[in-house]
Amino acid sequence: MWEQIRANQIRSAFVMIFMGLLLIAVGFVIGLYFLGTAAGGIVIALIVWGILNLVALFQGDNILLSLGKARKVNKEEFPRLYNIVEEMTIASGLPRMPDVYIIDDPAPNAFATGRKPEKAAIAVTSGLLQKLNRDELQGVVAHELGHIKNRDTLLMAIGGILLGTIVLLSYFASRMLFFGGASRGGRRSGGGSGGGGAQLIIIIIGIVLMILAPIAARLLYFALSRKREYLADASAALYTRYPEGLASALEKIAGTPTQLQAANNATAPMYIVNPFRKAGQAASNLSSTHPPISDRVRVLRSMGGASFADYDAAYRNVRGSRGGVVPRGALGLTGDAPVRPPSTETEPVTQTEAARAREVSDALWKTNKYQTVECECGAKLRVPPGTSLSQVKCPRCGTTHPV
Amino acid sequence: MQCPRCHTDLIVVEYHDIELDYCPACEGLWFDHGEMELVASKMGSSADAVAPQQSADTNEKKLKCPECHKVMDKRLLGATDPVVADVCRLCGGLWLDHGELEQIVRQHQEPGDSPVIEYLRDTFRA
Repeated sequence: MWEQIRANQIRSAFVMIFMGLLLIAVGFVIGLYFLGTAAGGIVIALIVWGILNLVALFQGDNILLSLGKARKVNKEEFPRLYNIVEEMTIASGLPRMPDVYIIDDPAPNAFATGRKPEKAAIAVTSGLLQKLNRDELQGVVAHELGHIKNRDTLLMAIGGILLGTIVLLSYFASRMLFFGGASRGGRRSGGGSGGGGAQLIIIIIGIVLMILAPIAARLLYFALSRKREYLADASAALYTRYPEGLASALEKIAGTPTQLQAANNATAPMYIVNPFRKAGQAASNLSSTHPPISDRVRVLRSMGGASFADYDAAYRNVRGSRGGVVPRGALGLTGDAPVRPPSTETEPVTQTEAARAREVSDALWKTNKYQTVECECGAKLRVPPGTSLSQVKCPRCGTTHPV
Repeated sequence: MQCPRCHTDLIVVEYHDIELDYCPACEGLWFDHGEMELVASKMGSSADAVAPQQSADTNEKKLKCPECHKVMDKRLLGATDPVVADVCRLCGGLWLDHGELEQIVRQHQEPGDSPVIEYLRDTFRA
């Protein structure tokens, strides 16, 4: 699996190394201040990092999914989504179909997680299922499977743990600096016999580092994720043979003003579009986790075919850059991939947004194990699982139904 | 989720693609944050008629938010004859007792006055 990461992007590796060095630097400063030995601080930093790694190893995916309030769905609960994931798993050549989760959130978005393709999962929001037609949903699912296939989920997990460690350590270190711990320790090690000027400089450098390290780590983490969005788009075009699907999905997602409720800073880079986008905010800046959507859409729309080489050519063309986005080793692998015609939707359930909204809401109630009572007057009563109620009265017509 | 008044399990009542949490025992109604606006926008109208106003000075029993389990604020709601509704400071949810619902609906007697009120009247027989 490392060959893939290495072959894909050496730059990602550089970013990771830089983050690692940053972690060591933070440990170094902590050691100097609080322990009197730099090595001790580095050891502490590495131990914290190791613990976070272990936590992530045992339940990383579960944490991520529970942070996002995700619910696992099976084939009966949501056949449309499930079929698309099945179909895209085959197209992408992943060894196992990822678990499928729905997040009950009106903002349309999706993300993938899992360090190994064998243990991967993808999650989509109910808003996404509601807004997108079949081709568009397929594009988004393919994009997420692209992240899994390209090992971005692994890379982001490692990067996320590094980021978390740096943020955690500098947070506590800066608290302790401000509340006196450092001055005592510093004086003890300095012996009080002078060298005041030099010590002051070290203290200032330390404080600056404590403030800057989390910010720098965040920027690095974001840079890491941004690069990988284009590649996942290229994968999506290839798997679906229909770049327009993802392009129009991205436009729909970008055109929605609602911000995702369940997202937080740590999970932001996993989503297909940045969940923290505010209205009127420039889509791309240093701290944005995703490239501008308009650029991604333009690249997708100017593709001549659906292969990696087509995406790379379109990318160079649109961005006016000499460097492409697909690693050279992968360019020839996919051969010719002609674009397919748009699919004709035959199932009535997915044709209108209102119909899709009903489909999503029914599926969510089902996954939440609610019992649905349909009253003759047209109202639907949904009774929570494990309730003590033995009967419910319809508020509209007064009919009593057994539960 | 449990009724803040009588602690019965709330059920979800769906009518015309609008879902609201409802207490089958005391017939109170819970609106998640923004849900009233959502109902209004689905009907192409505004929720002004049922927007909570300034805080109310009352001795009424304090209720705990069914979502956050923290004590809710008492806020006035409605124009001419306001009712004392419970609003959660944390999640922005709103609880209306059945009597409060009736009182609001009574103030908007003319049909077409407010589609939201019309909907509540029809669905919850207030």
